[in-house]
Amino acid sequence: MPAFDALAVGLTASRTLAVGALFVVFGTLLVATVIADPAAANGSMAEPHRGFAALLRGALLGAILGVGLWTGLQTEAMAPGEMLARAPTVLLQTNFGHLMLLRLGLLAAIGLALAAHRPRPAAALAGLAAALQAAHLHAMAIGHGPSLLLASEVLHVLAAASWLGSLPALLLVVTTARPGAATAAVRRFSVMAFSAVLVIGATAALQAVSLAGEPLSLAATAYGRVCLAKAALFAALLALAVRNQWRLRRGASAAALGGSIGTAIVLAALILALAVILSAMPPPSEA
Amino acid sequence: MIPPRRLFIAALVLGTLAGPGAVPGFAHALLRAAQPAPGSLLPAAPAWVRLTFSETVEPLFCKIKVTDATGKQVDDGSLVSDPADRRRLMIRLKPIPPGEYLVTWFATSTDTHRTQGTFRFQVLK
Repeated sequence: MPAFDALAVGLTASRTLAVGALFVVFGTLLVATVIADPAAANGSMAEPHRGFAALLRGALLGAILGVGLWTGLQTEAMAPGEMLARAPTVLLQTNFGHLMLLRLGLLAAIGLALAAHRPRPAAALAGLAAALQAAHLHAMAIGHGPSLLLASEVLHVLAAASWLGSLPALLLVVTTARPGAATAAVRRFSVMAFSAVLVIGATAALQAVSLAGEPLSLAATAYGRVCLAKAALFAALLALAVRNQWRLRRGASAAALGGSIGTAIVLAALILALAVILSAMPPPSEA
Repeated sequence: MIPPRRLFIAALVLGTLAGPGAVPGFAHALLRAAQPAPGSLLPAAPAWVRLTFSETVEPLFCKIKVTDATGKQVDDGSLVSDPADRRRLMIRLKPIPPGEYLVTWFATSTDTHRTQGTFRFQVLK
């Protein structure tokens, strides 16, 4: 039985928190500026827009906390027993540290844009911060500058952030907006979500072709089993989205979708955690 | 125009199939090449040990140590990276007599994964 590795667990949790909270910042700003009819912010969408402000504050704080913890624990992983002494070196002289500083700078800029009531620039900054996640993935580490693979990883992360990160804000819309406005918002969200799913599927296929050296023995390795679990959760999330769409077409109210959107948020968090776990595991070809 | 429902079903199938297949084949810095090569028999002592990895690495969090058969360190301790190719690391050796040598390396890739390994080479009399 493998030994319990507190550092690995802490790294997974902090990275999931940092990425998940950043996705929620981006997704909430997308919903606030595109999906939830900003023109009705003082009318039928007044309640959701108040909720967005609280959600954004919480997500920004979560992202800052997650980035801080991730940086500290990653330093400990890179230089065991020397976290405090080596933190400046990690921050100032490694690719990882530069990305973390840039991310913290973007989070501060998002906070300033929100304080100045400029949600669209804040959304653009949040998109940039979310896209930075791709710089932790494989195309950058392989290290040949801009490439189709890097572009696909950026698109993959942005599509995931726009779909999964929007779910908490969507839950606010369906539970607090006036019924007609909520249904219209859910329909707009569906168009965005379907586009995101298409991008996720296409970019995942491209990455599989570019990166998978040889066929993966799915059930035979821990890596393969995590892949399978992630794919199963992804399929469940898609099935939930299809079911919601079907219910809307059959005349269900948007408010009735609250429970399944809550379930979707839990599934999205689990998918994100599994993605983080996978990114730290060597594939079977390397084991 | 393709109906959104068909697009969605296509995405569902594509995403579900591609999800588990999206395997990062280069997730860690693996040793791709070394000079001297692992297991090599050299007619003369090398001045450097040069390693090339599959990914770019963080030199400040990497280490190469070369020891002789008695465990004595025979490198000068100063790791050098190649600014033109951040996948390459090298270390200078002190003058070494014929014998068997062990190279032990630790690498941290720029995406923060750590790997390690060893190999031997021999300098002939």
